[in-house]
Amino acid sequence: MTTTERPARLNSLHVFAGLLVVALVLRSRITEALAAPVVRTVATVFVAICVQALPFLALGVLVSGAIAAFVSPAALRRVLPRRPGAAVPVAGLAGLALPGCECASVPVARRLIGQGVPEAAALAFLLAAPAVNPVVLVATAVAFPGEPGMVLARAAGSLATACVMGWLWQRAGRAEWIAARVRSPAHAGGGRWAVFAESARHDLVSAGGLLVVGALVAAVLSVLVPTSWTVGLADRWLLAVLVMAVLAVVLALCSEADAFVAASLSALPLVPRLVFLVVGPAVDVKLVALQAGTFGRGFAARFAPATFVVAVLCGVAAGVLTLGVR
Amino acid sequence: MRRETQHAVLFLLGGALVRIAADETFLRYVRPAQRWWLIGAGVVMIGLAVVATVRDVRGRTVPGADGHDHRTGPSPWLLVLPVLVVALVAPPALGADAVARQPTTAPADLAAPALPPGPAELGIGEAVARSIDGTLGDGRDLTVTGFLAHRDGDVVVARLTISCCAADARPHTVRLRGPGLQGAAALPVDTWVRVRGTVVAQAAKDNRWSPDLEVAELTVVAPPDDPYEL
Repeated sequence: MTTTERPARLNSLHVFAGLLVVALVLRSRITEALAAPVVRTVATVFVAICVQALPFLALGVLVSGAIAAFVSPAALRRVLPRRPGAAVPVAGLAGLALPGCECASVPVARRLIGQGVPEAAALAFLLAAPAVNPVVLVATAVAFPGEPGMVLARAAGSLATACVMGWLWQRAGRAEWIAARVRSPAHAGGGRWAVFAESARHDLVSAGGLLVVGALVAAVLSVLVPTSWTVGLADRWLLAVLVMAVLAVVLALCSEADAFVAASLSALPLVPRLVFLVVGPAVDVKLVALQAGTFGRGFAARFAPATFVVAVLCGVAAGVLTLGVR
Repeated sequence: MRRETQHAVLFLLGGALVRIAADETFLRYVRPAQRWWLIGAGVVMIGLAVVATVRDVRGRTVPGADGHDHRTGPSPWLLVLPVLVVALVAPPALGADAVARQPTTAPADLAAPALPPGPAELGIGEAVARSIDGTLGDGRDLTVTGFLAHRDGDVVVARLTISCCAADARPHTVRLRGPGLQGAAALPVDTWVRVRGTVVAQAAKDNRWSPDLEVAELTVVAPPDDPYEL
């Protein structure tokens, strides 16, 4: 909307208040409409994904706000190697320091680009942070007590995915694919604390809405496309790899929990389950929604499919090298 | 979306998180350990909304000329959805529908110490795991608590295991058998029951990780605070 508004015009606050009133009045109708078992299951999974992810998003926007307000571009340049090619793996390893799941890393990567970090390095951080952090690796070790190789293979596969995507971006990526707003530094008309509060609030509101889209899609898909897909794949290794990679995208599990789901699918070979763990934190429906909204649709349309292919290949390579073909 | 509407939505969302963490509602969706995370996130959201509102009222921020925040796009509206779903419906914990929808999966490796002989009361996940690794044994007197569900024409007592949130739930089930089954079949699904009977652990191997229980005694019980197992 670019037209100037008259004071008496209906604005979003009125619409919002009206929506709340209508919802309260129609409450029993809405509850009735949601009474079908399948709808209730979808609603529960939807709320569960939101409730589980929002605290991580809140942590992420506090970090991203702090980066925007307190970390100067000069300081970041001092920390990262000068050559972008060397900055990529360093940024990937820096993911170790953010013990959250994938929702936290999107706003952080955005503000890193805003503060002048090379895009390739920020994207490597974006992909590595949810997968290569101590909490996720410990969870993987707990879920696969008899297979210590899984932890190593997961870390290697995810770090390789992050680095390959970073280098790929450096080689083939174009700056105009990322929405211009990402590169503009934060402004709030005030001191550093004002910048902190305003960037955190802005990132939370815009990323939160996208997280909700992702959670809704993931909830519907995970109920309609259940894990019974995996039945009968026990001795079809390659097909199992592909099915598990697609499942990782549609289920959109938290990276701290996906190892337990993978462990429970014990009829499947090990490498397809590793691919599930490498693909999930790098590309899934809720992450694509977050990326599309944060970096622009043009970015997500190119980045997500490329990441999917790279993650599958890196997952298979890491799995075959550490675990063998099984 | 106008800034003040964004603040209102953020405030309500934070309030909703604190609200479900204040009683046992949040246990329908996530693990008990996440309570303080939820409260923390709710407080952060409320805090950011209040700070932004105060700054806007004092005229300290420089929003667009018409009061819109163009950079956020339409997505903030979607934040209303979880607030409404939680406030109006508060969907129940996953139950029989989720069990019927998913094949049962293998239990985690327990590596638990052997059970002393005699009657045992176990969680369903543990009962299934011990049926597979042989530490439960056939013919033992076993008591389990879970909700009733129907699957492939069988009546089962089920429990869902979650490690993070309900999206990663895996069902574990014990199939009911014997004359006591009639009582269970007459009850609606999602009824919470405590069942005592004789276990046929061997059946778990042929029945996709679901041991059989020859029902001796079945009582309807109140749902537990935490409907899931870890």
